[in-house]
Amino acid sequence: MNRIMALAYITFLNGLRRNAVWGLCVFALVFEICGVLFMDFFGRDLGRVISDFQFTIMWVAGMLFILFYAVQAIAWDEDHRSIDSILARPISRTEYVLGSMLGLSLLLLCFEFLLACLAMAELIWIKPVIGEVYFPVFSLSHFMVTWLALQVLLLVHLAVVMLISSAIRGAFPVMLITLAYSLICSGLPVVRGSLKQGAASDVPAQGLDSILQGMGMIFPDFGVLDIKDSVLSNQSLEIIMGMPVWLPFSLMLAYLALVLFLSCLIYQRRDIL
Amino acid sequence: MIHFDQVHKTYPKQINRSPAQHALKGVSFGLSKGQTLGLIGQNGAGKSTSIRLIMGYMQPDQGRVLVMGEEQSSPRLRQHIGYLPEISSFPANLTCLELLHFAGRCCDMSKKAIVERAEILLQRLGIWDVRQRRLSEYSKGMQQRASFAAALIHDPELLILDEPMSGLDPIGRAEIIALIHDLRSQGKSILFCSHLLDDVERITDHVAILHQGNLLYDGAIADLCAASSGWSLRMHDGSELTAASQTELSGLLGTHAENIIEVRQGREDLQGAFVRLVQEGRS
Repeated sequence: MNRIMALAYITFLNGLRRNAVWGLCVFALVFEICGVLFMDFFGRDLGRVISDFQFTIMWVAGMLFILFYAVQAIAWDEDHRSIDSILARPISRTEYVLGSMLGLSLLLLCFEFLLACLAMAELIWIKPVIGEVYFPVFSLSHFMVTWLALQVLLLVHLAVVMLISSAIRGAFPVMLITLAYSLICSGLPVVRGSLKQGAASDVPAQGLDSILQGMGMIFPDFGVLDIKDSVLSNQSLEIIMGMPVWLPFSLMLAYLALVLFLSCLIYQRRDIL
Repeated sequence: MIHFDQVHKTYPKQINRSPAQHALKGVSFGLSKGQTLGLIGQNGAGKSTSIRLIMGYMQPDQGRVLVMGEEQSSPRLRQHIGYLPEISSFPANLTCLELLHFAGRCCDMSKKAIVERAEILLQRLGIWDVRQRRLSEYSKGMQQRASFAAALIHDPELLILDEPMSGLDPIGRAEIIALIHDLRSQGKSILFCSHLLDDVERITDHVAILHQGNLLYDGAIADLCAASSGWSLRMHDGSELTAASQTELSGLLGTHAENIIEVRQGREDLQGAFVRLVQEGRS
């Protein structure tokens, strides 16, 4: 654990001193502040629009961090041979994967926390300004759970980056495959939904649905943790999600653990050329 | 400390890249406790592959690599190994002290021990004054010294130095050579890999010469140079004859006995012996 923490610390510190990370952070914060401009564009449902916008900014900024920083940071180690210097210490490959993942996760969470604070402050400030009619409810606890759900999704993506990086060398292919993975995960439920609507009684279509259901084990439905609407709702999260709150979180965390386990396994078996 | 036994390693063919490459072809050599061994060879001879096998970065296809009596270098075993890679690269935004803290923490050293040892090493390597500067702001030579400090922070028993003089100026080279001599006198086992054969000759007694994945020589430098040396015969008229072998020498002594005033056994340096061995290896 000591070695994992040591590696996580230098990964975190190194990232914290990267101008690119700060640039992305400032860029996202400016966009969040721009959410205030919507006050002049939307009359109705202003609270929902701003809340959706803030969470979208957090999601996009998180994905940009993963695709353009985390992927590069891992590829850097191999391309610039930092990995030789790191693995020259008594660090196992598993510890290397977990340490890097932990360091990058901490950096991502700090970055997302800053964005969340600004988003929350903005929503709290806007609510009384625009009045009860257009922004009737704001639930702080639901906001936090929604933010946590978003972080779990981003961490799953980060774990997928670790998995792909363990098998493939080079930042660009890793970035492309991660992007493709993300698109498949968000597209698969839509395809399944349209298939169900279009041909409920069609036998071949049912076969295809089973295949898609199987694919869902590899490409999970991120929609179950997309609970942005709950921020402006009085209803309990269980009613909104249609299942106990812990269930999708547990499933997604189990998936994350499995992906990390596989990355460690692949990393242990491969030659570092 | 290190034992290579009939080690084979082939890099697989890669798409749109070079064909499969047989990097090591049944190589056997060893480094015993307290010994200093120079691993030399041309580019692509198999030196880096050998070091990567010792460090456990890759697995041999055939044969065995034993480090401190254990198969492959397991992570825990690396607690006793100090490795200086050919390319010194670390997360660029760290300072030298942070790097040493990381290296020390990985070896379960206490914070106090790390601070004390870091001060000694950085003073010795001449980078104490720039310890708070980021590694990205260091020159290549300074990065090499920082990397050396990281390799020595835990006072390892076995040192694997891959091109330690790379990027160093003449004074830096002299300082590193002096440091390596000190480490030798402390009884450390050192595997020293370099293209600079003068340095190898100054630092080590034994060499292993690799050529295209084959081991050409493994033994004492003195034996290699003595074995390769010929004889020179100085004649009355000031001319000089040379004999490469003892048979040739006997022949010359027989035919020119009355004209010879001096017979001298020449000594080849490591550079000469290396070139000759590689040329013989090619033919």
